Amino acid sequence: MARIVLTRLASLVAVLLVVSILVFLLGSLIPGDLTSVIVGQEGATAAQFAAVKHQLGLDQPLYLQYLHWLGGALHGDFGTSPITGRRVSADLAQQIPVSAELALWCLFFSTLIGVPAGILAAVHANRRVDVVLRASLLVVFSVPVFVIGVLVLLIGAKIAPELFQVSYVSWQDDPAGHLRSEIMPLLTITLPFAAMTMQMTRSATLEVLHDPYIVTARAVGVRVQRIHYLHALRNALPPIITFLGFQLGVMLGGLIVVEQLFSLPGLGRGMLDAINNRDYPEVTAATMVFATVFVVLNAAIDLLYPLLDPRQRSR
Amino acid sequence: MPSEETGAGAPLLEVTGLVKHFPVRDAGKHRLVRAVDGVSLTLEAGETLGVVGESGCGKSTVARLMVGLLKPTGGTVRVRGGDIWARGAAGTQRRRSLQMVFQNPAGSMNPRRTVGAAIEEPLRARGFTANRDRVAELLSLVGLQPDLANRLPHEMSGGQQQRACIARALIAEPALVVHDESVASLDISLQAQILNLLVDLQDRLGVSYLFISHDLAAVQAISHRVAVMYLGEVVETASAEQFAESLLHPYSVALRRAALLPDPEIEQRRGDIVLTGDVPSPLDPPSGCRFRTRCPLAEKRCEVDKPVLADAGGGHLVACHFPGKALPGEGRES
Amino acid sequence: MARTPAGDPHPRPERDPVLSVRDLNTWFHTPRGVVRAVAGVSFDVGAGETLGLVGESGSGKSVTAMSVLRLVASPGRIESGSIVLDGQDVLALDPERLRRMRGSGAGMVFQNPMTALNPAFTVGWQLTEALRAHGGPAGRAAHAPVEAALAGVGMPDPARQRASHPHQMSGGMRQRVVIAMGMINEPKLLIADEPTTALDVTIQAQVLKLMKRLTAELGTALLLITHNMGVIAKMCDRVAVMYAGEIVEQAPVRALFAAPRHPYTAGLLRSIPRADQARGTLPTLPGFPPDLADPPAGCRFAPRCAFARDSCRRTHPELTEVSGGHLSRCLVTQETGRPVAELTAAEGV
Repeated sequence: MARIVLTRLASLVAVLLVVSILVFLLGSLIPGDLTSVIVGQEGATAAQFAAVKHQLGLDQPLYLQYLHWLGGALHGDFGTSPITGRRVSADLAQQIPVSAELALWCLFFSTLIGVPAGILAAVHANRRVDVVLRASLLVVFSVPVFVIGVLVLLIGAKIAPELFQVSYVSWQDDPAGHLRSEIMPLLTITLPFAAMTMQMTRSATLEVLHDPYIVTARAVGVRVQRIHYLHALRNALPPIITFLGFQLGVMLGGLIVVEQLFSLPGLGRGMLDAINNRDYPEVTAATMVFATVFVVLNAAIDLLYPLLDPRQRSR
Repeated sequence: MPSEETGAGAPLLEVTGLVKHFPVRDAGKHRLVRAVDGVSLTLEAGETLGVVGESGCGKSTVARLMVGLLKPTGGTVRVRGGDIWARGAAGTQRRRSLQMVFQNPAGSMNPRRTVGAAIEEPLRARGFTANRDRVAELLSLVGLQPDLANRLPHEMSGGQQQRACIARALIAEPALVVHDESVASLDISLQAQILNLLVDLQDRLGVSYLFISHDLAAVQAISHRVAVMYLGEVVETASAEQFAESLLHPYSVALRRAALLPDPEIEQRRGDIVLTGDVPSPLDPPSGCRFRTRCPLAEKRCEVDKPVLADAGGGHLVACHFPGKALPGEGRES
Repeated sequence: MARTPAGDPHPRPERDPVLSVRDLNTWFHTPRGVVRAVAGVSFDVGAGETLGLVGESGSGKSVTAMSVLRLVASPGRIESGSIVLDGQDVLALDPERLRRMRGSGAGMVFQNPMTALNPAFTVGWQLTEALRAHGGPAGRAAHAPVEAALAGVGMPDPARQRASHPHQMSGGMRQRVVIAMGMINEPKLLIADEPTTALDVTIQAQVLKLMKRLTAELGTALLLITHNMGVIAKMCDRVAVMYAGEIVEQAPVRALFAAPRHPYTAGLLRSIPRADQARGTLPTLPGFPPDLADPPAGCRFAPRCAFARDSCRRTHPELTEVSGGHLSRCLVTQETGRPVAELTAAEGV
């Protein structure tokens, strides 16, 4: 067992390393030159140009720039933004909690809604309940998340403007207001994710419900709810969790849209702003954070497998 | 058509010291599954050798080794004296003269091709062109209507599918047909029909069979000689009469007793010969005699002294230190 | 309940039977049509006795077994009939009472031990679930009864097996666990649907011996479903032979094998290869079983029967007593009063 964990961790580190190289390279490929952005278009002299370039460290060969960056990154130091003048890590420290909160609430509610709905649909497969649920799934999948967001915004503002807060309020300032400001963005990002959870739960549970050991459980007299939520769900979990691990990437992408739409000062909006401002250090740092979260969570899911499926444990 | 080899005197099929090990990783370690561990058999033209045994005895692996689907780790398989793994055309020819009928007839035919196409496949594989007449001939030989050639496999019953598979095995006039549990998935009333067909075809065409099964009764209905396998080895080989009258190895005796007779007068009176425990893993077979962990006759000697196949008289081979000794529970009253 | 109603040919035992099935109809509503998998099946199982239900695939024996505890999967449905188990009308039970009946009124053992157990949980946990479902102990308190149950089915080292998972066990051991689950609440009836078909024959011997011992010790009735006549010969007190959804013959086991009174039974017994016979041709049953969505009008076996007359093809025969305790659905044996062995093909002309 320990051997499996160590191997997985080793490959995790390797993957992260490769990701960091790719992210850095992509950053350096962004069209437009940081130096000229800073220097401006007023016809600077070659000497000024060279000076700024040297200051930014951009006159060094690429691999040295990368190693320099990596060294800093491992300490949590992503350098200073030439656009804002602030330390990138300070910006990250402010943005990450906002995004993390939204993401975690999303996961929580998606599971709360999606799993029971999926089980319900599977148990009543092809009957009315299931048809209704699947139809609503189709609707949610067909509408892009930014359209959902705009609709939520319009409807929310129309029906109960006092209940919803359109602009972001931080927890420290006003806890109630903070919660109110989370409602609409949460609704927007949770709908697609809950739909995916429901879809996957339904199909995984449907397969498991036809397995012979479910018949054994019924024949032995176990209560129906217990059969569905314990005997069956436990066996349906591995494919559900794997699928959701991948869909996490979709959710992270959705965060960018939602934060922009609802003006939340999270990592997604920060990244969008940085891209627009050609703020390369911010862009690479934010991308690295997203990539790391995705890779680490999927690796964690991998390691979770033997826990869920005893057949995967080494003898 | 396969060329005649050093034919004179050589049996049709001769297997010597056949070994097949599969490397596996078990909990991170490299280990070997000793599926077949030294099997020797002979088979003459026109006769049936039944191979009987339970899970893990290696009989399915033997089946695949016989037709060249697997290459042996050790030992040889000879057809008419020639090694089936000889290089070049000679080896290929010999392997082609060995055909197989599988357990699951629906699974062994392509569901998207007609039954006729499946049956003539062996001819195509040898470079002959399609031959409707020959297919029709084979279909009637196995008791099917020739117009079934245009059907798809799922449009036929299980029994009909298996007959088609038999036709396919016979179309290129093989020297030997290996049956790997070929009647096991059929209903009991159909099994008799197929077994009769096989006996009839053998008497008419002179084809030999290696009939592999866990069902002792089916094996006896069709075999001239029987070999009993346990954990990768042959423990007893006998003619059908010897098998019916004087079984010598304790495993064979237990196996025979476990094959229940449809006769309550006998079955409800006589005692049980029940073996203890499960079959050991082929990853780690017991030392000495492999059957000793379940054998009611086992003694200290069996742990260290591995019995070899020896002739107990009249070509009846058995690998045991106490062949023919009565088992507890043997006898009429319980 | 103790008196035989007029027209009911089933011989009543001295005590009320543990299971009494009358005119059971379980049909499958498929796009192809209505498949009458079980068409008017009646039988009793008395306390402590073993009734064998034998037939080939499509005979309806498994569907009958599943119907007793109302476990038939859709599109199957019990259309009509009565099932009285331990004095209760199973078809009239509300969901909660039905749930309680399952596992404690009757236990079930299924065919394939490799898939009958939940791979995600330990064997001990699954046995505890069986106890818990009927008000028994849970958690630590269940350790002792679970280990006792495992010891009762002959598992070596019950304490260790309790904490094992199914994939760590062989087929024979898993089947023992399934039997333990079926018996742990000491039901009056055990329904075993092809319990040894997927097992090696020497393991089958172990499992059959176990089932015989357990049912004898606890006085449990056993409804044993199989296609293997050898298993029937060894295990059963009485036998019911099923063909195309109906019982065609029912008799004490020795009488059935010695002198069958239905041509299907006779044909089947003759066509089975036996371990005490040598190489040779076996007599066979011609033809195929009928399509259950569209069975023949008269006797369902008539198209394959060597003794069939015109009346056999016109009238649908009833199951009646043809000899002491021996029932048959064959018009010819009913009318002549003779077993099949004494009939000649000329009888049918």
